[in-house]
Amino acid sequence: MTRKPKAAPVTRTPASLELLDTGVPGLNDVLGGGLPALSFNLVAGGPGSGKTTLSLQILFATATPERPGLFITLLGETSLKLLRYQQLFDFFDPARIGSDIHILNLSEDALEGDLERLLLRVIAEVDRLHPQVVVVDSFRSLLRVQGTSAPVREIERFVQRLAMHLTTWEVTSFLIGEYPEAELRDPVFTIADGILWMTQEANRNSVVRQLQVVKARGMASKPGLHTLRIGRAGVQVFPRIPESSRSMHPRGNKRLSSGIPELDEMMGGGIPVGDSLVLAGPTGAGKTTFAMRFVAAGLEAGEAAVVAIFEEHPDAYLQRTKTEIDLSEAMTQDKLRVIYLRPLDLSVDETFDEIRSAVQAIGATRVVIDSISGFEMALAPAFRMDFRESLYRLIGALTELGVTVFSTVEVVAGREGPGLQLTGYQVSFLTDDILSQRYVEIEGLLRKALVVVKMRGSNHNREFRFYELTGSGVQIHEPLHDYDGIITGMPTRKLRRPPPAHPGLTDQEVLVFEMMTRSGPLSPETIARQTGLPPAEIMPILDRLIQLDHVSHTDAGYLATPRSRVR
Amino acid sequence: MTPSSGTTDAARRLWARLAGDTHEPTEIARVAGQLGAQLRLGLGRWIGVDAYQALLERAAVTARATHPFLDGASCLGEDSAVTLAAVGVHGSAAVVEGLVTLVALVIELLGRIIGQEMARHLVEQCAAPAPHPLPRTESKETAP
Repeated sequence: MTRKPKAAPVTRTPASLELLDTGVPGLNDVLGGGLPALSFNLVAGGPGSGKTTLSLQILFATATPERPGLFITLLGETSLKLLRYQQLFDFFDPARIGSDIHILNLSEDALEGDLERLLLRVIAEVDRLHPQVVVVDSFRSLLRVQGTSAPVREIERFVQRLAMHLTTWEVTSFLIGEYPEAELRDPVFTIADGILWMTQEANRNSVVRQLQVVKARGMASKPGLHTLRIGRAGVQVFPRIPESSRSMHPRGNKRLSSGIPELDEMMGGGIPVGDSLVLAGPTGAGKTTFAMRFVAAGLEAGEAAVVAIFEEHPDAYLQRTKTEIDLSEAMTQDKLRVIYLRPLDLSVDETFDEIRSAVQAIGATRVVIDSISGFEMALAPAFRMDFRESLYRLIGALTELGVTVFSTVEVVAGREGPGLQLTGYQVSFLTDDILSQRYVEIEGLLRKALVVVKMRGSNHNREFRFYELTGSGVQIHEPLHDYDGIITGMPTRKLRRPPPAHPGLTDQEVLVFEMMTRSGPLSPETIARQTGLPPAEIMPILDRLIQLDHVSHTDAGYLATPRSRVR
Repeated sequence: MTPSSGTTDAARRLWARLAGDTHEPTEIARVAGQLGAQLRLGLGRWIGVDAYQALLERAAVTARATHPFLDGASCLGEDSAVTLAAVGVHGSAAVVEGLVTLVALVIELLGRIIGQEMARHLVEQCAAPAPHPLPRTESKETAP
């Protein structure tokens, strides 16, 4: 029996979509490459979430004199306000207004509620200008104006006709609307090719803005909530760091020097390239000094480095670091970038974006995060809730870039009991290597001790060693062999019994022998009297001492041998 | 409120672009009408007809203090007869100066909201020939 040949697989060439560059940093990435040309999109969200700014920024990025951008205001932000406030953004070029950017105010038409005339106005403007992108802001307000006077289905029909016209006119379009989440089933959501959902949430003193691509026909958009920031330059989106497979990060045999030779030795030859190392220690233990030694060692080897700090200004930070090399000079030469991130509404994604940009800009191989504790404080409260998970994604994404990450974390006394306090963040699952610093009290003095707790896949030293911070960096001293309980912070010197002076002798034999070495020939009775031992026990002791050649018997009495006396 | 020299210069340039140095009463009346209509249509498109009307009324109240002939005019665009009569009474130079002051005040008031540079830019755009022919619609803008 012959088997039928399998049918040849049907090869399909996927149609490609023409994509427009949105001009919004991070948004192309989130959308899956860019904005599909001719798509009909909805930008929904609450007031102040950045809908208008985002749309106008896209308009400026895509408009050309031949294919201008058209911004139609209905009853959202009035065009006067739009012109007043939006021109404060860098992307807003006043010289382009009227040439390739057009703003059309149709608020009066919208207020009159004649949807047919409104549609005709929009169609006429699109026909006249032949724009690349059209934004209608705020379409949603039509519903409120119409209220009871127009049936909802009339609005739906209006939106459908508008969408159809805009698509057939070969226009990429955005409708901006303030939608509560409960209205996600609105028919307009079905019509739209793309839906961007923007939110703004205040939590205590921080405000977090986020964007979600709810729908993007034909695009492999990035799922999840992406944070965004509105600054002088406009909107910037920070794509959510994807879940990474940390086992994928390259681990070769190459090791990097920590900048402290003794520490390299303790770690089995340095830090494996691509590892994530955490240095945990109490305040003042010298975490920053260790971190800067790591940076300096890289700079000395011709590498570039990025330092992310959260607690103090870069000038003050660099001033208090102790390295032999001039870090300011390295910054001038763009071999070192110090990123100062201190807002209290920071997101992990934003932090990663900043660090990644700096790493890629200067080709850095070493990254310092100083410190994880400061990083947590800089985050918006909403992001602190899942800090460990976020930290895991951050470290994973950084090591996947191929850099070696040196993080510091402050250990608060008593947070984890009196044992080996590591990080307070239970970070062992996200780090390859852990170093622990701690204070110990030795003879009334506060000393600093260091131990290598973990080096993934490496043989490493497990001894506690004293270290000192000196004017030029760090000096690591000998292991603390004579102490127990270092991890408690109050070690004790070990009580060692001296080696026996007369191995093999019983305590009574030693007593007799010691006494005889200090005397001349003695009778058994004298020995019994001077040692206090029962006379009956003296002869057996003397016989054994004679046997072991410690004592001899002479006419004058019993005498310790000369060899025994020398000993 | 007095318009700044910058906005007055801008308004004067605008007038000169449309009218040249004519002193002919009918020509002055025609250009006043044209300028008024273009500003109403153009600025009305940008900022809304209601907002434009509000600005124009505020500007006219101030301008009438020094140019009383504007009392009888609804200002720019719809009163060629009034302008023509004013030229007969006050002379062309005074009427042109009054119209320039009115436009300058509109720019000044708009500039306080959106910035002087942007305001001048928009007004100049409105008075310039449109690169794309404006649509003919039944909107309020084109209604007399």
